[in-house]
Amino acid sequence: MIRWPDPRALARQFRAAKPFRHVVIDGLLARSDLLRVREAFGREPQALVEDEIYLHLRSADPPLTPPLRELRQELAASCAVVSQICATAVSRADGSAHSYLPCHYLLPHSDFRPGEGRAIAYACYFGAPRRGGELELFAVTARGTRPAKRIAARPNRMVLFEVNQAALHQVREVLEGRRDSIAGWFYP
Amino acid sequence: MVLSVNLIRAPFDRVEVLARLRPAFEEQRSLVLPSACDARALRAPRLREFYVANRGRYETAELEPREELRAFAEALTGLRLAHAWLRLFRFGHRDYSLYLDDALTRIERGVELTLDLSRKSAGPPEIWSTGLTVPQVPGLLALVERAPAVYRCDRYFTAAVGRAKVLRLRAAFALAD
Repeated sequence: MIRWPDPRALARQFRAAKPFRHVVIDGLLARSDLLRVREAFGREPQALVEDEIYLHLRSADPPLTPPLRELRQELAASCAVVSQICATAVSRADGSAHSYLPCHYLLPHSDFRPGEGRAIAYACYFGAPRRGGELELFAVTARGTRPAKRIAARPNRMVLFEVNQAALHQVREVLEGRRDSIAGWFYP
Repeated sequence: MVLSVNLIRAPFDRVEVLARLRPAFEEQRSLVLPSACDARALRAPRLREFYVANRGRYETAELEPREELRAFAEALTGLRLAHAWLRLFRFGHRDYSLYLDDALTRIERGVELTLDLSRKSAGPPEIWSTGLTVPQVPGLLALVERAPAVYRCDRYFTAAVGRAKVLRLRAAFALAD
């Protein structure tokens, strides 16, 4: 299902990326697979979840609808290539289906959790909002934090980024349309 | 007896009324009073922008202590209190304040007042780690006992707020004894 481009080129991009190490991969799935996955989002059972920093819809982990579950399994089976791209040895992955409707958001935060072992974060986008919903990366300096890069949630795009306390990021509020993604982490 | 207040509206400016409310505070360690404050009593000062991504985004101003707020908090709680700070916060679309922001700016033990001085109800609530939710309603006053494990956050202001601005005046008091 997943069509990985040349990992060596992706590894170079990952290494050089600012404000922290990440890579954007377009054309992840063939068109027929992409259509199957996009269609599955409409059938995936999701719950509205809210806390201090987020409000959005989230599925079980793994998702229940076969195309989303297969994709999540295939991501978990991609540890060798992800290890190569990110120069970090990973051996397993989790993931669930996230949907953001208008006024849904995920505020700036780091995915780092002591003891949980999250090494690499990933998000695969399948439905793009018409306005908002970008992944925004922050630069953390001694003088504070500043937005440094915005990545549009384009369909068939995957983002991999490192997890550490300084890898601050957010999902900007969706203002119009719907943002569908499979997201989770790779672990050592 | 009437307290010398002008932010606090009747009947909450009466010591005997506040004394009657004290048992409710002592039971809950917080109290939310509708229609208890009047925005017209405050002249809007110059505000500065604050934005630290993992803490919060808003406008704020540090204000001079107002004795009437301390007297109000003492009359309601029965505690002896000392002024710690008085701050005005203004929130609009895309603004928020997280628990971390509170943790770095709060008093650990004492009492905190929040007076909603907004013109209309348009924003999300103030949330406390105790489970207390303070809705965004003009004139609402919340008094909360602060303890080391108690944190506050201002939920993210989505586009649903439109162009409206929400004004929260917060007064913190430490225990004087």
